[in-house]
Amino acid sequence: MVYETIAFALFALITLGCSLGVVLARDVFHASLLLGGALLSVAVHYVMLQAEFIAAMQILVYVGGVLILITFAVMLTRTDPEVSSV
Amino acid sequence: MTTDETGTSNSGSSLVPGLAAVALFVVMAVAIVQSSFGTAVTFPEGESIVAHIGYAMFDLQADMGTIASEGFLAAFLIIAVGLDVAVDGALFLAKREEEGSIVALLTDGGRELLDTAEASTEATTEEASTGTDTPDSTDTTGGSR
Amino acid sequence: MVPAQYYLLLSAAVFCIGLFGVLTRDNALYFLMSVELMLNAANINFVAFSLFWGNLTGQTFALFVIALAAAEVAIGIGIILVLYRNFGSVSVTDAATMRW
Repeated sequence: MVYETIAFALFALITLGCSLGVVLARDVFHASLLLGGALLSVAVHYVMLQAEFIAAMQILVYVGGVLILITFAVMLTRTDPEVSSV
Repeated sequence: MTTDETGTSNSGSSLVPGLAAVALFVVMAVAIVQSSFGTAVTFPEGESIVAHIGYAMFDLQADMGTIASEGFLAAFLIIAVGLDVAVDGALFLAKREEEGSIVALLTDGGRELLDTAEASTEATTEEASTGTDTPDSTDTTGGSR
Repeated sequence: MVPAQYYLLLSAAVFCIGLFGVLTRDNALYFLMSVELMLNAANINFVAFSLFWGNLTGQTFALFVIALAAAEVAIGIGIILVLYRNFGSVSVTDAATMRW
């Protein structure tokens, strides 16, 4: 029980930290990498909730597909200079 | 740190939405903490959860065992059609209008397409106005490439 | 087992972070990532209540949400690339053709 709570608190901290990093990061590429961290820690939450299949789908579809697509778009587009240069 | 002073590029306009998001979280947190959900009913031991998800997705009511769920066959098929529509829509959006090559869009992010489109419209108007200097207009198109 | 309120608080926090991102940034890529965060918050709620009420409907619906998010990102990336091709930037404030 207490170990479960500690594990939940640890991964909830990782999830919240990575999510805050996504919306606060100045560089779009850093934001997409932090989004990957957030999605992976959400998959860990799924494993703790006895939803192993959903966790596998989360990693396969989100981290393997969606995140690659977003990274693709980040590299194909050039963000405006007043955001990326400072 | 440089991220600190540029933390919000337009801090005056992002303060109000930020406060709105925090206020929404406070309201939700108060509502969650004050509610009670009783005792948890977990899944029974020794039952395959993945198999039951499959039974629920294909609406196999006869095989549905001890884990309660509903039939989702219609939603499954609608999601399948929706994914097909999404793939077709993404391909349609990514296709170039002229010459129809997707690879050309991926190589430069579409900048060359914009330049050639502008140059070709200029060239055609010039050609229409003067009517004689066709080699000059093709030269402009080639130079801008 | 961790109480259901903890998962609800985590999900509400992730949702509000995603809402904050949608409200404050004007880069379309940040929009897409913030919407992913909000969909993940909904998924955490689905899976948590699926376990707490012993009903598999939540897990099945979470799978549908994941499929929907994949479709949405495929369309969103196409829209962002066309936006960049036509306007030269990915800022949502630049595309003002249908706005006054």
